[in-house]
Amino acid sequence: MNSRSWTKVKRFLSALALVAVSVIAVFPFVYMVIVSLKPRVLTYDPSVWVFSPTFENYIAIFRQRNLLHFARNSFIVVLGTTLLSLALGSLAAYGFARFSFKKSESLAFWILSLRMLPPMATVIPFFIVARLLGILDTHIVLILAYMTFNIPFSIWMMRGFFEEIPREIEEAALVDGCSHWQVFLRILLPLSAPGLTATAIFCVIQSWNEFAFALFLTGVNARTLPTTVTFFLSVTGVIWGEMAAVGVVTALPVIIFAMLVQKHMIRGLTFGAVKQ
Amino acid sequence: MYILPAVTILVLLTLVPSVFLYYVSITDYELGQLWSTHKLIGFRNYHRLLSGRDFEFWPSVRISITFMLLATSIETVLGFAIALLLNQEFRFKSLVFGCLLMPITITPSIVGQMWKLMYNAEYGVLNYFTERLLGVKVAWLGPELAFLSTLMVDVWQWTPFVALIIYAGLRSIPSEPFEAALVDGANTVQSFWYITLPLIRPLLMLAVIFRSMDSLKLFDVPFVLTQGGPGSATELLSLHVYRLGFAQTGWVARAAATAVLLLVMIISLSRLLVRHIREGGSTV
Amino acid sequence: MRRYGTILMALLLVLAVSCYVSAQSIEEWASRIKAELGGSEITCAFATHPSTEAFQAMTAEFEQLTGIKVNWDVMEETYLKNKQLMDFAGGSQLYDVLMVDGFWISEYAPKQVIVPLSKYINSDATPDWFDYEDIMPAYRNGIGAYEGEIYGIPTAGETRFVGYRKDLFEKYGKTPPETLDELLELAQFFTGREPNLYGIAMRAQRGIHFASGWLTITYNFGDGFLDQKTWEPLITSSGTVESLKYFIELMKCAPPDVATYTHEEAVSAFMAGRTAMWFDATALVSWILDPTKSQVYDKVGFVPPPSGPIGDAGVFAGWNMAIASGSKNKDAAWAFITYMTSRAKAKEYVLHGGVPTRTSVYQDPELVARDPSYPVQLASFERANALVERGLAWIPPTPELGKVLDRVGYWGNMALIGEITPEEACRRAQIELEDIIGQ
Repeated sequence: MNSRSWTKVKRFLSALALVAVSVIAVFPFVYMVIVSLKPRVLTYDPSVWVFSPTFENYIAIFRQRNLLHFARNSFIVVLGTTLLSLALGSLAAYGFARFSFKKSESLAFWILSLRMLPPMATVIPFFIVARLLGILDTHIVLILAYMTFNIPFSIWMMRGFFEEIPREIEEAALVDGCSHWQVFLRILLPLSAPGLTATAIFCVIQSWNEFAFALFLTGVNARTLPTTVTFFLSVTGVIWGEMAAVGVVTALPVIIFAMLVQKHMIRGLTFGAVKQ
Repeated sequence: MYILPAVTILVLLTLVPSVFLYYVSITDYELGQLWSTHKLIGFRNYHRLLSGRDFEFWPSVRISITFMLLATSIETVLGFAIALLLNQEFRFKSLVFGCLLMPITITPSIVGQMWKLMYNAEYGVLNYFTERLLGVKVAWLGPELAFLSTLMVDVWQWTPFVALIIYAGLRSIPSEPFEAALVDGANTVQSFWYITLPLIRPLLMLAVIFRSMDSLKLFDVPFVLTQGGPGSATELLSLHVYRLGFAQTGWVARAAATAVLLLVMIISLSRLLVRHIREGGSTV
Repeated sequence: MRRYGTILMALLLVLAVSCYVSAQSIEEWASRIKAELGGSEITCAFATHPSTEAFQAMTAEFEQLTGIKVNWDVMEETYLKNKQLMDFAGGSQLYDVLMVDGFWISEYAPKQVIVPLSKYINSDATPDWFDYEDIMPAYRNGIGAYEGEIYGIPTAGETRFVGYRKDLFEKYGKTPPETLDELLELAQFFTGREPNLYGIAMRAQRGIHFASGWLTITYNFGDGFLDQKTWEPLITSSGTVESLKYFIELMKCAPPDVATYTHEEAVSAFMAGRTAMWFDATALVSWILDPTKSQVYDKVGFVPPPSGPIGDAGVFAGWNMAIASGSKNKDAAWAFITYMTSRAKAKEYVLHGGVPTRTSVYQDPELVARDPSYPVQLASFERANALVERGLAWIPPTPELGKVLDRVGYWGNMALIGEITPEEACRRAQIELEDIIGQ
């Protein structure tokens, strides 16, 4: 009796906490949606919550700002860099997690340190190299540039997840006659599906929203979505409505993607399932 | 070798920028100057920074480190708590999940702009609430609060990141240890402390590393929110690097020297952290 | 005697030929351009600005007339500058036409990021209806030229003036400020006079914004940041220190987070009815008077910049169109500039929302009727001309300008938030400026 009411209280409190967290997380986004629907004159009046929404801003960003062009570029770049980084990164992570060799820690650390270069410090050399290779203003240059932070991220994330998996499972498979490759593809990757999903989500988010490289390494052809924010920082002031509309439109695909794949995090195979 | 492809690509991609960065830091190169006209000036740029002739360097180091420590610890604690909350079955889970992701999915520079609008003392929505509910008007971006306000945005934006990594970790923990512990009669607190925590430790530390590294190089949001101001209240080192190298001044070489020092700082710091985790992790 | 006669004849002949060329209509000019340059392509790197939007609106017609294809790369101004400089230094030759802030000309010209334009302007190929002389002289010299050579065609000009709330001034029986002392008194009077009301809004964010806000009144007290003949820093001169003290006093009558304000927040606070006055760029007026953007559009009046202890001064700032030195299509770029910034197209440009620089525009009765602030803008130009007569440019034309403004604006902002005294701020700024100029 007592313990049951305690469970109830606990459930209630945790539900309350979840709601609070969600509301705080979502509020700025909701406010952005509101701004994107508000007529311009009301942007500076937060006391107005009820108004007849205008879709002008959305129409404007697709008609005049040609948002689809940028979205297409973003899509290609993100897809390219995420797939490549995940493949190369988890492969390397497997190596780091399972085969310790001389200097492996130093090498792993060196890889991590690459992520620490502030983009503003590396963008000029990238620009010069890209120009020499003639790939300025292409998708390739951005895919490559983003790999510099996505690969280290994938390696370290996946290494963490691989190490969580007990070695015995793998050794049993090896005894059964599987090759290392098969172990990696058939057992480790599926087992660390939650990790792979989380890593993929963050690779996508980081590349989707990257700004400095996207602006400085491209011209008119390969610009991605985040750089469109500079359209709205006008000399005469911020064009809030359109900028908020772009913010909404930019965030939506990622949110949808994340919500679609999140079930892989939840339904990730447990070890019990493998053993059965 | 499994590692080789990734390492080869990384070497190819980063060798040139890193070498360039070190090289340019000992020259007098400025933005827009023709490359052929630069001169080598030795360690003068470093001397300038360390001797305090660059007034803002040491204050920014202090601001950056304070910011990193606060942001990382708050985000880790909160993130862990949220991960635990998520790690139970309830309805609308995917909805909560989507909500949590929202802060990270909005483009950071737009995040900065939106918060700037919301923080505005005169026509911002936050003050609309504080004035309504508490009857006070807060100068969110004024000299006293600007630092905390910037911190708040970072916590808002990146706590979900920590939460999701830890949550993914909690999800891939094998269930037998818990079953065994249950058989042994361990209570929730005990099984959390002795089983969950050690198992999750590598990922927890990973989240800490990523957050501390990323908060040291945080740029977009404070750049939009405050431009490092008022005064120097939010002049993080990353902003300082940008301000020196780009923007109005264009001292690329001095910016490079600052970036190299920043790099040294981040690397030695995370080296410490990494060693700590890897050693701790191996005892599990 | 006969020699002079021959020269005279030759001159007359040249004149006749050039008249023949220049007197051509837009259509004739365009068909010639089409024959010579049709099919070529140019890329414009422009700032996000109402004028850019006006040019974009006029692009289709230009493309159709001349057969030149125009690509646009539009972004926020600081990024634009970085991008233009990188494009130049990296030799990537992405851009042909650049939109260049008057502040950048003195840096771009000696670095040869952009090319001298007088040979294009004086060329016979340039038609009459372009009319360079129609652009206001203060803009031609103040924002488009460097050391006597023309580097940019001014396209969007601005000076600064004071906007005030007519309703509030009437209610409390006040008259608009004539002098800076009155401005300060009025600002102090209105601060807190009504709930959520402050005296004034201006830009004061650290860095260039603070420097720019401070420069609004600096020349009313002294010769500014730098001696424009010897390039000695003047920050610690008594006039400049006084001007900083005044500016900080004035900003105490602004909303409490004014130390983070750019022109955007300043004008927004005024448009939201939170301040009684506003002292900033004329180019922003179209927003204040726009009912879809402003809550005070029907309640505002404007007056020229108040005079200070040593008399009148004013601002001349704005944007140019220039040709990138890396451009492979300079003639097409010039054709574009000719067409877009010409007197013949000026009215259409302003009607599309462009910010004017031409005398003919300010005198056009139809346009004056559209924007009631035009006469005040003209009066403000006159005050700004006082500065020109003192032999000073509002924008000190030095290649180190960006650095100067960044540092000055940093120390000024430190004084504004009370970290250090104004005197101390000036002293530190002086040290840094001596370092920069000495390099």
